[in-house]
Amino acid sequence: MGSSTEGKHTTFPLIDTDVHERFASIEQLLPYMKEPFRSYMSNWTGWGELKYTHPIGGSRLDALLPNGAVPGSDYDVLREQLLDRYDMKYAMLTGLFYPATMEAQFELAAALASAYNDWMIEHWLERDERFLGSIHVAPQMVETAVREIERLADHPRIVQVLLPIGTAPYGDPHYHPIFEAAERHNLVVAMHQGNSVQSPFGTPRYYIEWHIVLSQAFMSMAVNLIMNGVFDKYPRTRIAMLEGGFSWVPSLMWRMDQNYKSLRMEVPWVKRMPSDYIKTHFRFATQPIEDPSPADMLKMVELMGSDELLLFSTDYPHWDFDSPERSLPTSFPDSLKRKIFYENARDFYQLT
Amino acid sequence: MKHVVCKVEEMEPGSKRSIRIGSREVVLVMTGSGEYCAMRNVCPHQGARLSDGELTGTTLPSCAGEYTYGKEGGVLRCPWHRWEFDVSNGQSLFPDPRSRVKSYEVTVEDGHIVLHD
Repeated sequence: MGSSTEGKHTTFPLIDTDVHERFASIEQLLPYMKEPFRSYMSNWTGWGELKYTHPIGGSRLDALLPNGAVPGSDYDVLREQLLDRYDMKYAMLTGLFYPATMEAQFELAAALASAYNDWMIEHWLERDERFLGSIHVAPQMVETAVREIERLADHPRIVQVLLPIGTAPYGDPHYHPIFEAAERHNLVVAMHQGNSVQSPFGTPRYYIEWHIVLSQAFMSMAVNLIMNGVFDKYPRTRIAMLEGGFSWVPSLMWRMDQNYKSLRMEVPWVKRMPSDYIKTHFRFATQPIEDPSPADMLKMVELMGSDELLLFSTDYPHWDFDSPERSLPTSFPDSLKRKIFYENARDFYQLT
Repeated sequence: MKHVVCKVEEMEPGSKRSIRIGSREVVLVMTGSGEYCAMRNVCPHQGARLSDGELTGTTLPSCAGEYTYGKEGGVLRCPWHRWEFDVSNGQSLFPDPRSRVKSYEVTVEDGHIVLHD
């Protein structure tokens, strides 16, 4: 298996907040499913989440597996290419099987999420102490989702509930019990890009258009959560935004604050400046990091108004993987690198 | 300086291999039309090993909505973000002069492939 030609030269331990473990086949979930849905699996066709054929392939070419199975489905390869290749203290498993975005058959969605959790715990989480896990739920049925959180929240290496960003506005009161449960169990709520994200035009004609504007969904979600009062109702809520980038955060904070000064009366439960909610309750994973000049990137981090908002992530094994050695400008001050690579995630997830 | 890499029989058209010249890694390519090219085996973006990528053709600049495929076997595509490089000169196929990979002259001498640096 290949990798970069550079040797290890990060001087800090890493926490990777976005690592995609996968199953090689949906059949791997069968032992964790009951009837009637177990039988559904013999007719499984998925739910058509991604609307595009990927023009260049969805994974790193050096992470392709000899047996043709989906990259990320082989623990030994993942360990070699990621956990052992870099000085990886923790890797947060975020999967990429998100029944939360199913538009129908919500009981099936809940059964799949639950089966996935059991499979992930047994085959990944309990196999390597560096892994930290996410609880997948079907938020379409919020009470069932809360029960799933209750079922798994006490696992010592489960650190978050994962909600994919698709078309569901999680600030809506329908979803609030999920935030209540996460807060009660001291879990982060991670929001990762789902493949059902749409642009303001629906489905853009080309994949490149869709992939460029994904961050708009993260902006919409941050605004939605704040304006619907999630953080006023559940003040210990912590949101990790995964795979949405971060360079949009400064302008969004300005725009929210500007609008809030005029329109606060519509959302009187929002009691602080919106930018304050961002700095208190949100963290943003760095990938997919853009590549302006190092000086401009440093300015962008400074414009966020805090050096504690960024969490490093690779998105292994996907095509837009960010290398721990080369994605952040090496000219960043060591204190800032240490925060982004390690301390911010350690503190936000309350790890030891 | 000349570096004898291998015998000509050891490379097929449309193939690539990673070689080490001193402390540097170089990717040697034999294009589909039988030309030899070589460039540093490091993507200037995030350092991936280009020899783990694809030796391929690609879409050529065209009018909106038209696809013209070309440069068959003459493009090396990085295994990570798929930046594309022209194997003949190491230049990226997007117009950014900073994104160039150092290329090396390659000749055939006495049945051997020879790299010059």
